[in-house]
Amino acid sequence: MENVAYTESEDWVALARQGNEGAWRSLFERDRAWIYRIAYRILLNQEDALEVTQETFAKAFSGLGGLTGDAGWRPWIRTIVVNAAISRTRVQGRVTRLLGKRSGEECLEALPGFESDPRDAAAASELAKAFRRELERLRPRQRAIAMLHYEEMLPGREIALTLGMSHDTVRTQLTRIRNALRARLAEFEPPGERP
Amino acid sequence: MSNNEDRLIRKAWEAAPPPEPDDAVWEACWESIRHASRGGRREPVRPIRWMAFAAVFLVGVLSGVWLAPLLQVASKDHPATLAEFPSPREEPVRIPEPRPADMRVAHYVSPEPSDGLAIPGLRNVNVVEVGQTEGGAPAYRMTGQTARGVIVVWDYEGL
Repeated sequence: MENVAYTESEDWVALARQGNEGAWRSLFERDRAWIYRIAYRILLNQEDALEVTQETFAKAFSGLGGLTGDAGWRPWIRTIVVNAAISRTRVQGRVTRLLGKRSGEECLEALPGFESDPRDAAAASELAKAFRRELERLRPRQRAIAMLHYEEMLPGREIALTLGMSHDTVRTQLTRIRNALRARLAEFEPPGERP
Repeated sequence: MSNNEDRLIRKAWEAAPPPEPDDAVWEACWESIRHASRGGRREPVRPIRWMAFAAVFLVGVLSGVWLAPLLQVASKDHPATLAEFPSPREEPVRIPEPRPADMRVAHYVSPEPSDGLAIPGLRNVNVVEVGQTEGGAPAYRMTGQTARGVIVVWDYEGL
């Protein structure tokens, strides 16, 4: 591997396209946590999320030929990871049915809490658990929409492009997701702020 | 949708971050990506390979053209080629008329006329004298039925 430090990400994409491993490594180190987080939010399972991260980077580096410049890199790799994670949920669903276990059930206990105040920690932990249970109830595509909206802060039109859906479908789905999450999380809202 | 509602969902989202993999996991992940990406990159085929392939292909085709007449002559010389036999489709299939089986044997022990003979595989066995042969010996007919209902008729001479 070439140990070259590149500063401009545009250089990384251009060099990565030529098969430069130093550029691959730079892109991987810069974006791995982001890609992993997207995969995890859809899959709700660390092991699967890591595999999808790996698969995403491998696909991205093998198919860089059609990409021009760094501006296209992020939306492009985001589309790869979202679709790879959604595809993985189909396999995950089959395995879960075979094993008779809910996906990521064991991870509920391992959710991190806040350590400053035990009461805050407990409340945050309860909120996190309730939120996770609600995410598990959503379909994978809905989780992807929620993640792209709440975490990636993407506008509806870009979410639609990433998932290959119509803008109207994304809007409808987002309203449903919001209502479902809202109904489940209402009890965690501070009393003064309840409607 | 109010900002408060959105804020709560965002807060919940932040309260449940994904578990962070350690460096060793990332390193293994990188090695795997590197390997997969290298494997997935195909080297462009060099012209020499195309030429070698074309030469082998051409030799194969020319050999075929040259050998075909020789093989044809050899097959004509052979007395029994497949072409001499009619294919199963050329002649209509003839289904024989149902008739009782007629078994003729050269040597036998002739049972005397009787009912209820025990012969393995046959039931309703019956032997009757049906006349005389040209040589003056008694002629018998034995009938019986197989398990599937086929009638077996056996004409034979007495000793």
